[in-house]
Amino acid sequence: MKLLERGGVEVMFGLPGGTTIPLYNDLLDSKIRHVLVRHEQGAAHMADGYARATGRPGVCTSTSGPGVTNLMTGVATAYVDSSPMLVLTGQVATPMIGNDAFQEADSFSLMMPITKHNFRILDPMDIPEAIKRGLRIATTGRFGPVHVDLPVDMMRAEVPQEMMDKDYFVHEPAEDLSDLPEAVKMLKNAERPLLLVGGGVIWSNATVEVLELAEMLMAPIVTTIMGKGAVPDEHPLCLGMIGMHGREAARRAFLDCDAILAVGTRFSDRSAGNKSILSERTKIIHIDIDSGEVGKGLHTRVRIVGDARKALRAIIAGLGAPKGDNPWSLRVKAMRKECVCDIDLMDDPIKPQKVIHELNGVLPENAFVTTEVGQNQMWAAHFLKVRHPRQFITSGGFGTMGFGFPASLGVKVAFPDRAVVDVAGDGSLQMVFQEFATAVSEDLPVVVCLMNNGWLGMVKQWQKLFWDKRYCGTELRNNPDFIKLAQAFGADGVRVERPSELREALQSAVKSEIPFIVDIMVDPEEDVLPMIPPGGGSGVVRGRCRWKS
Amino acid sequence: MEVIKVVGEDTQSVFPRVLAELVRRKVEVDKAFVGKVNGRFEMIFEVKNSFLNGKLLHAIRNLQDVVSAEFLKESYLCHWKVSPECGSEEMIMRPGSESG
Repeated sequence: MKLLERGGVEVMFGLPGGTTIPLYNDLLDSKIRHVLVRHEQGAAHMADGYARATGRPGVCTSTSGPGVTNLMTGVATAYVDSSPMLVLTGQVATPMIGNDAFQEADSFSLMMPITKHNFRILDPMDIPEAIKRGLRIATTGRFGPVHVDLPVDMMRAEVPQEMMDKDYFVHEPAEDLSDLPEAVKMLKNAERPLLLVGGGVIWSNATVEVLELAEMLMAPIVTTIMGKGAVPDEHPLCLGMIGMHGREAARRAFLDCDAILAVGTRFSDRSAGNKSILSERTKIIHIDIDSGEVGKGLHTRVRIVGDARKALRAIIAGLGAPKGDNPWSLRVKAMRKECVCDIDLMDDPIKPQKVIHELNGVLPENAFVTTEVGQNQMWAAHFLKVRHPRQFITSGGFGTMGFGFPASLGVKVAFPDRAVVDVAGDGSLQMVFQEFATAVSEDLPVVVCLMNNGWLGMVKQWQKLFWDKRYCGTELRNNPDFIKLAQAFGADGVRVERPSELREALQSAVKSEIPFIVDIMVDPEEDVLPMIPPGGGSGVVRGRCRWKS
Repeated sequence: MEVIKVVGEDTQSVFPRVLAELVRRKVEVDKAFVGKVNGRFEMIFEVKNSFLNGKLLHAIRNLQDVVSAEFLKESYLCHWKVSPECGSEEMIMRPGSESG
């Protein structure tokens, strides 16, 4: 606990068990706040939400065996989205390891492929190194979760002060900026440059530099889902999210540009991984802190390995003068104007897009929005107007249903004075509903904005569009009364069935001093469109997209 | 077939960590030789389909406690003679041939 305090840890999310009693015993004498969850998966997502909102490592803990396996979904979610965490798990006493002891699992091996690094403590003298290095590893280079497996007898042992005070070495991430001059030259010569911005830009706090560079080049900015919020959605150069459910303007600009500066993105299959759609002549400059990602997904002409902020600063300095308006920037303006959807916001049943539209109007400028995964996530990503980095928090890479609600609690712990809303679906929320108990007992008044359509909507959408409407296993029959359920935990809520009720319901939810659910009955036949079919290709399912040309 | 040499610090589980990374990236490992040399772990992997080429090495190098990773272009001799009675007699990992 002392090591964690020294490392700047303020809060730990967890659920104790027999093997972590020594840790909890020390917690009594510590300044660190403990948030008791109702399921360990919630602890990992809360720590992850805390980390994404603050940029600092989130800490979660569980007991051995099932406690660890319950944590794993949350740890993998953080790993794929490069979120820094310290994961402390109890383990059976060292003499019992390998004997199939009660609640024993090989946590070290289980966590290895879903963590940036992990430690198994077999000597109490190794605890300081694991904690100190662990916190450092989680927050250097490409961020990620670090796991420390702590056998119960190791936690009972005393560690001498000199070991606690010792410093431990962590390798600095590799850097290769030698292609910077080539990048500058390429951008100077480009007629139609474009910035593709991923989550790495937010993690490296390079958002100011992205905007400065885009304005110098008068280049449009498209983001991955993880990059949403890196630049304000309302900025005239921001064309929004790219990818399977991206905005048409972003897709068009991506296809039409002649040079892409990709920053902090790994060209995932859901964002921009389909290289066949790009012209052979499109030049790609790729900046990433992880040398294993640069050029992995696409053949990139120029590869820069290093911190996004540092690399962008160097490019800005190299470019010198701004370009000013030009035919490409005018075309981008026209694209932005043309990218509208044909939606009647007063339609009954309520359109999910209407829900996001109302959130845009109701939420304070500095509110946080987390999402679950599925249609709710894509509607939020597509339509929510995000103003600041870290305001939009979602499980982009791992796509974890049940992420948003516990993540929102982690955010609320970090920012108790700011509004925090989880945009949820009825499928996702039922995976983690028990965390309403945590929300109430820890006084975390978040809002759950539930888009209730009675289906596992995204899977249904795929069955509708690509599997001949052969629906199987996707209708959520016998959904509970979510309001009564929330009230049973000591929270509150309101059901919304008509568009006219929506704004007032959301306003009272945001003002609520206890956790609050707005159960909105949305149109179950509404799909998330436009959509690029899985596997890519040129065909786009347009839906309500009004694009004329 | 390709041969990869990885050197890691003498810390716990550097070998399974490298192995897990190779498997995660669909690289088939046909043979592996690992031994401690001058206080560091040297690992030689005979692999198939390391289609990520240079990127694979970057990914391995990015693992904590890995010092270096490279594709070997020359023959490499790995020899280990061990018995319960005599213990581990010899461990050689260096460029060369059977006779060398």
